[in-house]
Amino acid sequence: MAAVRVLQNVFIAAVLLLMLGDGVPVYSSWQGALKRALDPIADGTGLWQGSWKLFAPNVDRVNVAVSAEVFYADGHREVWNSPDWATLPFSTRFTRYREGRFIDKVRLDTNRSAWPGLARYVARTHPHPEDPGIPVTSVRLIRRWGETPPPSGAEWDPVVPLPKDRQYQFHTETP
Amino acid sequence: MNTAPLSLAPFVRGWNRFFHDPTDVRICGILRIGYAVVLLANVLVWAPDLERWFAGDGVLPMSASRFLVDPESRTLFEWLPPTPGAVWACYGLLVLQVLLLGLGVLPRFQAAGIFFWLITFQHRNMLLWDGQDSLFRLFAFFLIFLPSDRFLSIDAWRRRRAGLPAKPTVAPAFALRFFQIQMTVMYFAAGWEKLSGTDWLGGEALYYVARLDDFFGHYPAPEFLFAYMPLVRWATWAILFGELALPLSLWFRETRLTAVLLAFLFHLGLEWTMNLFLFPWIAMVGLLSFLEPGDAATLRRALGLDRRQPAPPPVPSPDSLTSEGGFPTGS
Repeated sequence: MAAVRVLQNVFIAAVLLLMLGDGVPVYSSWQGALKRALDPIADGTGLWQGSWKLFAPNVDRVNVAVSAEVFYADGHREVWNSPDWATLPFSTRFTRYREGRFIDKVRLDTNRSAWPGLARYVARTHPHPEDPGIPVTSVRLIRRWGETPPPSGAEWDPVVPLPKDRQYQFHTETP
Repeated sequence: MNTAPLSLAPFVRGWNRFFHDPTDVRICGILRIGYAVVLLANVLVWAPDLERWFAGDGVLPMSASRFLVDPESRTLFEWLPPTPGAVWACYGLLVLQVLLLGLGVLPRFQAAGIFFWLITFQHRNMLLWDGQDSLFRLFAFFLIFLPSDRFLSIDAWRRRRAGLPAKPTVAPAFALRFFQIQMTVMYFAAGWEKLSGTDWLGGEALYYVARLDDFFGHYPAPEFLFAYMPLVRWATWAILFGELALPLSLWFRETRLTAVLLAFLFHLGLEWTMNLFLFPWIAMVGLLSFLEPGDAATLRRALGLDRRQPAPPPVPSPDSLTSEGGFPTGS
């Protein structure tokens, strides 16, 4: 029984080390070193914590969307847009929540390795509307965003939908 | 002269009391069912887009997905054919195991399977997830070590039906501490991270949150809650204070129940006003780990619904305890 208890305690201590070492925010160099040392173990065991930074340290200022322009061999052009969340009912926003996370992350430069696959997927799922035999020649990925201005200083600052009035083409793929 | 006056004995005693003292494990059964219900809702939502997110011809080919994770983050899909059939087979097993977990059929085994499948899906496409998915995955791991089969489970019903003695409902359950510590880490980290920015300390965070078109908006809420800036500031500071206070107040006898109730209200408020998918619900499942058997009676008395005198807390007799505690014993 004593051996079982010792094994249990070793196991508990190991889980706690991973939980605290990976989950508590880094505020010192030794803690950062510990987190880096634990990282491969947390990843390999599936016990990684991820980030608890939702809306922190500051709230995102931007609402983002991704669009794709699909060009065909005959010069035709189709446009695909990610959902406009502000116009969708809650049930749709709930069931498409994963799409929101995907769009929010895939646009980032740190995730550029995902861009060719996304562009090819858009090309595959958007055949020419009149003749599916006409091949896609290129796909452009565009991020669109609108920035929330700081509070106006008035006591009453109404919540109004903001346009995504800025855009940047971040990838071109030739399937 | 005693050159080593300190002793580890008090620490070891405290550790053993904290992790191994017997507790009422009926809450583990409730927690298991709550987890399974919320996880089932989560994975059912994946179904219409399953091939888009996880198949080889979806939005993220396997080769590209490997660049988005550390090399240690493996997924079973690396070794399976990149076909929709393989994805659906894994998904079907995941859904089946979630159902069986909720019903309480070999719950430790089902939890282990769910943990494996969640790793498999999460590591396959890391662009889909956020903090709530970490909770889903980690809770599955904790459930492997939780004696959740003794209450509201088919396993317990089958034992009764076979004429076998019921397993004791007072037993060590160190994995319940994992849930509690995980929730504490989450609230502490969320609060601490907010301190290093200006939005929360300046009282403007909720102003910006209310203008995020993907997260904000669910049930109708009065506009003044997010447009009247003095109220926005106080609400922002209240949330910050709450997140910083919860990690401590959840652990003290005098404040625990109040803290749990306020945390429930906070998460219900998030659910009412925002689209955070299932985060409020999985967080409330985690908070269940802080509840004790007498809490319902305490609440009834506090609300004036029960005027009887409180009964003294039950003291478990030594022979009612399991010998191996909550460590896996194969079921």
